Amino acid sequence: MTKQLLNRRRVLRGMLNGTVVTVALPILDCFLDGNGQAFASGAPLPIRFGTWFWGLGMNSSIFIPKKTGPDYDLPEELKAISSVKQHVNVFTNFRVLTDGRPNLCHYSGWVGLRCGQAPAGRSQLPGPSIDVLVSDVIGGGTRFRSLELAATGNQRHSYSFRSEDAINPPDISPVDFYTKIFGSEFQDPNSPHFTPDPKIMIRKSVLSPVMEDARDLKKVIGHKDQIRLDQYFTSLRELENRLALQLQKPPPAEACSIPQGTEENVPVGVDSELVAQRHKLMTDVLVMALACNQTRVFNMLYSDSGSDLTKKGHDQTHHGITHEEAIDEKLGYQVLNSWFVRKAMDEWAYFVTALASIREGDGTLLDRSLVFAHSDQEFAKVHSIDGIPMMTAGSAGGRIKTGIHVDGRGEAGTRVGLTVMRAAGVPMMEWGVGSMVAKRDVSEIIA
Amino acid sequence: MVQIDNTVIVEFMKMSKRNWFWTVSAASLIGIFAVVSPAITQSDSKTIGLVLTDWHMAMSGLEDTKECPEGFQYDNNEQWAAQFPTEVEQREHISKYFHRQNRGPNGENVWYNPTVIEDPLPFREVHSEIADGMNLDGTDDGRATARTCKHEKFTGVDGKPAVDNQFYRVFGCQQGMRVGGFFDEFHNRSIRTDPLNRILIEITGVDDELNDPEVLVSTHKGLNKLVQDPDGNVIPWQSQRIDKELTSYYASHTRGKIVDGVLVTEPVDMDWHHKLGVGPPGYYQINGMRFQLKLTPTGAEGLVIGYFDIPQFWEVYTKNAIGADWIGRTSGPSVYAALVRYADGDKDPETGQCNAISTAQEVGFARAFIVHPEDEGKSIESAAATSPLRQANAGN
Amino acid sequence: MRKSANSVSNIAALVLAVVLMSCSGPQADNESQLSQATQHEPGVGGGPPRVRLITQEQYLNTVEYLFGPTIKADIKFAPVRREGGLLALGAASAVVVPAVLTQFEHIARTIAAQVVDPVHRDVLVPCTPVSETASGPACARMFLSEVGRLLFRRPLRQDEIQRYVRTAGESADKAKDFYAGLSYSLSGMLISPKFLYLTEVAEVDPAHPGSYRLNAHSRALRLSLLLWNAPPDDQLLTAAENSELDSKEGLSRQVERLLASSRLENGIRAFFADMLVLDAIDNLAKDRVIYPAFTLKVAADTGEQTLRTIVDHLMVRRGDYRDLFTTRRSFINGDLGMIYRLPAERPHEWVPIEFDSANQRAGLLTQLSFLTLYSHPGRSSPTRRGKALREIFLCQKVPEPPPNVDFSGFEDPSGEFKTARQRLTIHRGNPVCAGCHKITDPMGLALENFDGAGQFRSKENGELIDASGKLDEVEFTTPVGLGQALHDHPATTSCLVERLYAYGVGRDMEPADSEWLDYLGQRFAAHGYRVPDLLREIAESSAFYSVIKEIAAPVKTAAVSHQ
Repeated sequence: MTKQLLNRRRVLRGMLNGTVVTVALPILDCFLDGNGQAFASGAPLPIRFGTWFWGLGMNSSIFIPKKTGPDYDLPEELKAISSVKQHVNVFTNFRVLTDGRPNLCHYSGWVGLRCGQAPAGRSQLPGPSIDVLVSDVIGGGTRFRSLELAATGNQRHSYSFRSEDAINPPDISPVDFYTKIFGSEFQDPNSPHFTPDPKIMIRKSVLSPVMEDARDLKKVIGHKDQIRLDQYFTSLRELENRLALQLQKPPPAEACSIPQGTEENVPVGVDSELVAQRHKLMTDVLVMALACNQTRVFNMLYSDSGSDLTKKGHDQTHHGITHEEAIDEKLGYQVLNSWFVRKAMDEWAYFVTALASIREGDGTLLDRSLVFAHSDQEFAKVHSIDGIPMMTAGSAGGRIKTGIHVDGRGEAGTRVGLTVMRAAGVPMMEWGVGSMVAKRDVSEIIA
Repeated sequence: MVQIDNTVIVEFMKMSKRNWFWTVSAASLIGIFAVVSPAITQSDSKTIGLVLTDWHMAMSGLEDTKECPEGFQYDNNEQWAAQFPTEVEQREHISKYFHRQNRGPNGENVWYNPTVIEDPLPFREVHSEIADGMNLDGTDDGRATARTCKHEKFTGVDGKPAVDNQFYRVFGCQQGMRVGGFFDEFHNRSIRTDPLNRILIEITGVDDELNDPEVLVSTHKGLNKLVQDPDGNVIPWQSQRIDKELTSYYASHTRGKIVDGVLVTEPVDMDWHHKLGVGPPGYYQINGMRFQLKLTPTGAEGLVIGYFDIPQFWEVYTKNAIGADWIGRTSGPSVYAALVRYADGDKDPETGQCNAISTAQEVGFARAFIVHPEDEGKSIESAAATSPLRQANAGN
Repeated sequence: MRKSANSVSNIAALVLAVVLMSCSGPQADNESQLSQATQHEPGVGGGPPRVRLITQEQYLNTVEYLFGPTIKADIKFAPVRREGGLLALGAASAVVVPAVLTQFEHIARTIAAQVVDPVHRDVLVPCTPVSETASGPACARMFLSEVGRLLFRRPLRQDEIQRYVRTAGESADKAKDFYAGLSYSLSGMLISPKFLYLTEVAEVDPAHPGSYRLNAHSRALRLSLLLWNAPPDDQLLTAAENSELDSKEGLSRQVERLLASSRLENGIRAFFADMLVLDAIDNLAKDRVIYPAFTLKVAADTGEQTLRTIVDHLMVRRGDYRDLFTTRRSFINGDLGMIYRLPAERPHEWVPIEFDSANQRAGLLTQLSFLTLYSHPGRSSPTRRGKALREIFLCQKVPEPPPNVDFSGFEDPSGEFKTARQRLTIHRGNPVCAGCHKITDPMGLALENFDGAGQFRSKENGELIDASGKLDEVEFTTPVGLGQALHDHPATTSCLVERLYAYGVGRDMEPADSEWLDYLGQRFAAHGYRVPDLLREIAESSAFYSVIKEIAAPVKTAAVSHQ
């Protein structure tokens, strides 16, 4: 796709007799076909795929919509998404089956949904995770293969991985994240001028002795370490490709505008207010990173599994509260626990709204995205992994119908994973292991 | 209304003699201190360290409308506008004297020369009969004595009779001085940030924090910054080294007692140094200052009571107000006139004019560890002495 | 027969009784009694040669050694997995994902640019080029072969040098700047897997044909990582190159040199920071309403306090390791003083203190790092503290909590439970929970005089705290008593031996290692539990350097990530 775009540009440049292309912003529409759905070359606008995670599930009596199908109702804990409901699908009553492996609290559930199988032990991540499978297909051709973010500010909170030893480290500081994307190495795709940076050429050439070193090293290490070194090779090639990409003029991005830099550093801590602040700042940078074609795959973690988020002045953590708070007899749910769930849904709504607020072609960034959101437990009090709430947002460029509530009737939750991966462009017959094998899409949401 | 001409003002400014009131008691106190101090330090008694965190004018605790039914005081701009009511007059004044504060008959600055005119708009003073403070003159009706001038009394916030707090009468309706007002806000912010405001109280010889018939109370200047929590509260139990260079300017020593957890000290003169934000540093000369502090597990709160020396007060106040009278909502001539009018202490035996004004300021402290210069590094030395490295070196 | 506590812990379905019974380690203190039993080092197979990803501290130590302390590297490496209780073991299985290599490349360029900047080049580049605006192969070769040897921890082959000299030349010509070329080439070395992966290579052991040991450079590497947490310095590389390390005397000379160096402090700090999970302090924060005094500065200082205590006790004072759990000596500054409620004579500096005997503070368990890491943001947690005590200091594994616990007995809508002890009684009364809570809570409850921020308290919610507890069969009534019980616990020293050795060889201990660990434990006891002596025992042993050639895929062990 990138290649085609570059060819298209070369044609344009040819027409301008090789002078520097100076294209003013309004003319950018020229790059789009009449319907605004695709570049003039015929290549569709890129699909972006991401995940969004929150810990500790929900209170089913006030979360699960009574109505299935389109135009579902919004019980109290879902009220926050009312303004974006038309973009959001809700999946309830899907299961994680462990096939005799232990149900490791706050672990088996989310690992099962991300990997298609429950882990054998707490240290195991039978990856790759969904997003990595997707990024292997659509992640090339941008500056970053994927972007990982942890609003908890904890470097260990990443649920994106190839294996337990190859976890993609998250960005944890909004300021650092901004600098990473829009710092000195950012190339404005809409800048009329482009001169390849000779320094990048040199940096790229420096990689060749490194590659030779890696080949040397492979000869003297054992088999298991050779496999590790293969991942190093992959990373080196990735770096090479990235530098190569920076030597070419980036394709224009209609919706890209460099956001105001943030200098607001959020202090360490998992007070809900701090986490929300971090989440919002990171989201704002992320949506622009997507609009500016810096990546096509992302993973946002709002709170971790078994989350220790706190409410200011309250001595228990969210996790402690899920276990120790009594179910209110009148209301029928855990009131304080629900406060945390609602906070999470507020942030989920913020995230979806942010994607929907970026105009792109005849729609929005959200229309060309697919976000898979889920939690680690259904009802955290008893660590249940049957019915872990899942959602999607965005229509993946029209491949997914939205605004639908699907009752999974106890089927494996991997069906949702399979559906979103296919919609994101991963050609896949089936996904999952053992009882978690999924072969069919969730047809209710296929457009 | 008391009329004061320029000459009187000059006299006022020159007059910085103090201790007229407390000379005897202060002298005897020093004697006591010298004798008692070593005995106390040798006993098992405790020391309580405190660091200043808050300073506000003590108010009545009533609603604004009850304290100040006429509203708050006019500021210099409003007085100027009233003094030069037409646009022509205003333009003429500014073109001639450049600044609204220069509204004396010959363009004098009315902060530096507050007596050269009278403000046209009326002065608004406190109408409440309640105020925080203490009976300082010993009378129950505020009649004139040999050392004090006739004045009205307040009823205390706690209901006790005959409270003297003429300062509150003058400033109680000035928005900038009230709690949350501009000067108040700035002062309190700089208490936390500016080391010149690092006032320490050290209470020694404490055998019982609830009731102790005799303790010694000293003030010092601290050196270290105040650590605050994210909400801006000062965290207790910080260590504060005494500022060797400057502490003598802040120092005072007196005796006190603790009754039901409240420390009450005997009067002593003290220069209460402070600095407001970017303003210049200065001090309030507090004659016969007493602390009345409720000791809490993490600090202390209560009152600093005494007489502000007016010339010294005016010097500091002017410096801060002159740059911000429109935000502080104040006007020099009427405030100064009120200070002189309501002055009730330090009576000049010849003129009968009082030169000081009774006051109570609400203060807050956090518990702190006060490190005396002679103790600094003591533990390092003692630890080093037992270190095997030191012993090995000593052997060489 | 003693089994390594940790190897037992590898067996997932573990019965508590087995853990507790398996903890009996060497207990004898009597040198003469020991000397007969422990004169000979048992033969040891060892594990496969390790390929460890360089850690942040090792990277910084390398940069500082090579280029001096004025080269600034503001870095935060992605965390590796904690395995067998140690990040050091995770480093031996960590891979470099794209985002991590990107970070390495960025850091490498930052450092390389500083090394050749006008301020540093005169000192760090040993020659002057013919022209500053073009390539200068002779000078580049001189610089790169010298730096390359220290970065790759062995002399470079000609073809290896040549590829970096060529890169320097090509880059210099493109940039028209000799030093820029040198900087690019150096940045290449800094992302080379030969630098990033601390790689060990085996050779046939001449003393035991058929067995393998690390080659001389790999031995130097393992030794230097253990004692300095840094790659070998010039002298140690030279010793490896001229066969000095092949003789017992030669090895001993180098071991003594490393032990006597001030860089030993880096090594001791790195090991204990790893063992005590001090990396978790990065995310340590408390509820600011409940614990306003626990500022982020305090959080950061908690680890430093513990490391200072350890270095002072073990290295400066050459103290008994067990006394770390009872010592009243520590260090504080003004910020920590707010929590300990003690004056700091110099608030902005660390000053030594000695807690007086009336104080309940004694030993590492009563320091903030332990008390606060194993608490919730808004309250203490006897369970977390007890679990951490067993897992960190006794190398035991507390089983996973069951997923389907009935928490209804735990609900306390009327707030009648005032203390943690009352709350936890419910857990211990429930047979499903009791299994685990019985092995964690009795020790954790002894620390209840310290709240979630580590501040002393005698009451919780108005109720007097009962700080009595039990560690296995030893009972006590105060936090100090708990420290004494841990001091006396046989697994305390065997755990240290096991962790330190695993840390040094970069692999988890297996049942086959138990004879060797027993031997080390006895030597440790014979040395009065002095850690520098234990380090010497390990560093001078041949077991430490012996490896197996055939690499069996090691069994994965439990780690605490993703809990």
